[in-house]
Amino acid sequence: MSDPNAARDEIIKILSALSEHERALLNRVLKIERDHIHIPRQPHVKADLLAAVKESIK
Amino acid sequence: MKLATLALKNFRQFYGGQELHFAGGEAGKNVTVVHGYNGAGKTALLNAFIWCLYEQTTRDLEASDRLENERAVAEAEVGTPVDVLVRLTFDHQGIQYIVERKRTSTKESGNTLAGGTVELKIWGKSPGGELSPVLPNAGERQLLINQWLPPALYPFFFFNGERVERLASPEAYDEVESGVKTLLDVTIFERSVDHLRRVVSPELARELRTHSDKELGDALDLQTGLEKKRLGLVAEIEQKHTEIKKLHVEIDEYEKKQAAIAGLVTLTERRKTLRGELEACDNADAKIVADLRRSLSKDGYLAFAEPAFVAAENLVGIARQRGEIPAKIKPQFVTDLMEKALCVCGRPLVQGTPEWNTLVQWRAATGLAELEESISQTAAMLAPLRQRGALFATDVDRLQRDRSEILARRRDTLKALAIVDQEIGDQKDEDAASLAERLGALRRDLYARQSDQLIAERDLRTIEEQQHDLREKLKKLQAQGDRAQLLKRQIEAVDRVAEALQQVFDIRKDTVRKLLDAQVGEIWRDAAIKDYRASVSDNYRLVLTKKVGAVEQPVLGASTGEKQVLALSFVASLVRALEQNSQDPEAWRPFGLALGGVFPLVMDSPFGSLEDYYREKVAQWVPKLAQQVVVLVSSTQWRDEAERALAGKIGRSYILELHTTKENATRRLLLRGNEYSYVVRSEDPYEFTRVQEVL
Repeated sequence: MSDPNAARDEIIKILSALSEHERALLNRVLKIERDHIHIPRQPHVKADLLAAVKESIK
Repeated sequence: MKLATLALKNFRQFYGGQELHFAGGEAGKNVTVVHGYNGAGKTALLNAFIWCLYEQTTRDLEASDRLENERAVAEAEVGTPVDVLVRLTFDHQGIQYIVERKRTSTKESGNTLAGGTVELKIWGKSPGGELSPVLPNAGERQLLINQWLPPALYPFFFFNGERVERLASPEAYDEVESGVKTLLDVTIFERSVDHLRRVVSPELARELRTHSDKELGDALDLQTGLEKKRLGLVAEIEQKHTEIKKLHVEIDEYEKKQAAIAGLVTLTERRKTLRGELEACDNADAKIVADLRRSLSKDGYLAFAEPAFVAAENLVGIARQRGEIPAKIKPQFVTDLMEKALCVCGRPLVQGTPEWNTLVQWRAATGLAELEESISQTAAMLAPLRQRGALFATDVDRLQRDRSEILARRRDTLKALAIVDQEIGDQKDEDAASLAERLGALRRDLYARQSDQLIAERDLRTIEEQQHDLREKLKKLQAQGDRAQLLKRQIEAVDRVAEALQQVFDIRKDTVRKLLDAQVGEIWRDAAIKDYRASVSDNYRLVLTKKVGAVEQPVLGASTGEKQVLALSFVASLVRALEQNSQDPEAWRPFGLALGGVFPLVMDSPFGSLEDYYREKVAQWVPKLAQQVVVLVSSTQWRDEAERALAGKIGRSYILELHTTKENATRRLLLRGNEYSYVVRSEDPYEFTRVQEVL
C-alpha cells in the first residue's frame, strides 16, 4: 500500500469498524500511552488503562 | 522547528556571549554557512544545539563533561559560580519559543568545577508578542521538547557529515530502525498493543475467572497460559537477536583481521566476492519464488481446467443439436403476456386453457435464452482461457528452469566458499590458523543461535494462531450474570482495540517504508555517479544494489563517499516524510497518529571526505535537503564547487574566528573575493573563538 491516501482510507476504515465506545477507548489508550511515553517508570499506566476500559465499556 | 538564533555564553571555545542568526528561506535563501578552522568550535557549535535541547552531546566531542569555557573558569574567583548557557530561539507550529539551558557550577582550586546544577527554561511568544514561561515543571518542559523532536530522531537532524555514512552500515541498523519507528510514532502503538494484551486483558480475565463456569474458566486459563508462553518466546527471540548481532560484529572483526594478513588478501577478497554471489543467488531465488507464487495463485487453476472446457463444449454442442439454442422468444415477452392475461390478438388468456398451458411451456423454454447467452459467453471465453493456460505452463516451465540454474549456481558458490574457507584455515601462519579456528567456532555458534531463533519464531506463530482461535472461541462462550457479561464485553473490546491498533501500525509501517524507499531511490539516482540502486529494505536497512547481468546484487565495499551520499539521501527522505506527515494533520490528529512538522538540518562537515563530483552534488542538494539547513565547514571542505553550487542559496555566513596563543599561526580566509581573519594571534593567554558574521 504505497499510496498514502489509500493507506489513510484503509486506516479510517479500520477505525470506523470499531463501535463508538471502542473508538473512545482507543483514543484514551493512545493518550495515556503518549502521556507516559517519556517517563521511565510508570506504575500507574496499568491502573489508568484499566480505568479507561471500565469507563469506556459499560 | 524553524531556527531563528543560537546564543552561547561560555560554551566550550566560545568565551562570553555570542550569537548566530539563521537563514530562514527568505528569497529562497535557506542555507547558513559557518566556516571554522580545525578546533575553532564547529563540533562544539553542533553540540550546543543538542545540549540545549536534550542535555546530551555527540560521541566525537572530547571531554564532553567539561562544557564551560576555560578562560571563563580561569577568570572566576574560587568559590564563585561559573555559568555555561545556550539559548535557542525558533518557531514551531506557528509559535515562537525560546529554549534556554544553563549549567551553574562552583569554581574550586586548580580550575576545577564542582556541583553543576542544570536549569531548563522555555518561553513562548503569544500572538500579541508577549513572552511568557511555558510549563511550571522542568520535567514537563523536557517532555515538551521530546514531543517536538523525539531524542531518538535528533541524530538524523544534528549530525557530523563525516560520520553520517555510519547510518548505511550494519552497526546502525538498529538506530535507523528506531528512527523510523519514532517517525511512525510506533512506540506508542507498540506499547498500547503490548499493554492491552499483556497487562489489561489478563487482569480482566482474572476477574472474569472468578465469575465463570467450568468451560469458560478453562478457556480463560488456557488463554493465560498461552500468553505466558508467547511472552517467553518474544523474550527469547529478542535475546537471540541481540546474541546474533553481537556475533556478527565479532565475526566481522575477525574477518577484518584475516583480511589484514598479507598472505590472505587474495583469499579473503575471493570470499567477499563469493558471498556477494551467494546473496545475489538468494535474492534471485526469492524473486523467482515470488513470481511463481503470483503466477500459481492467478492462473494455477487453468492447469486443471481442460476437462471443464471439454464438458462445456459438449453441453453447448448438445443444446445446439436439440435446437434449443438459439431460443426464439424472449422470456420477458411471455412473462408480460401472462401478467396482462391478454394475447397479442386481443383475446383474454385464462389459466387452465390450452393457450395458457402453451405459454407456461414457452416460459420454461425461454429460460434457454439466458442459457444461450451464458453459453455463448462461455464458448467465447474458452479460447483465451486455453491460451492463458498454455502461457501459464510456459511461464512456470521457464521460472522452474531459471530456479534450477540459480540453485545450481548457489550450490557451486557454496562449495567454492567452503573451499576458500578451508584454504584460509589451512595457512601455515599461526595467526591465520588461530583466527580461522576462532571464526569457525563463532560461525557454528551463529548458526546454532539462528536456528534457535527460527524455531522460536515458528513456535510464536503457532501460539499466536492458537490465541486467535481461542479468542474466537471465547467470544462464543456465554458468561453467566451481569458482572461476568460486562467483563467479557470489556475483554472483547480490548481485543478489538488492540487488533485495530496492530493493523493501523502495520499499514503505517509499510506506507512509510515505501515512501522512504521511493525517496532514497530518487535522491540517489540524481546524485550517484555509478549505476547502483539505493533502497530501504523491509527491515529499514539502507541497501545499495547493482545489476550484474539480469540479477540485482548487493554492492560490496561501497566507498565512504558513496555511503555518505546514501546516508544523506536517507536523512533527506526522513525530513520529507516528516514534512509530508504534517501536511495531512486532519486525517491523523484525531487519532493521535501523526508526528510531523518542518525540521532543520544542522550538519558538521557535510562534504567530509567527498570527491569533487560528490562534493558538488551534495552541495547542490543541501538547500533541497530540508527547508532550513545549517552547514559547518572548514576551508579545505569548502571549495569552489561547493560555493558555486550554493550560490544564491546562502542567507547567512559566519566565520568562527579562532584566537590562538601560538605565534605565527595567522590564517586568512577568502570568501567570494573578500578576505577575512580566520586564525588570529590571541592577545590574552587564552585560546578562544569569536563568531563573526560575514557578507
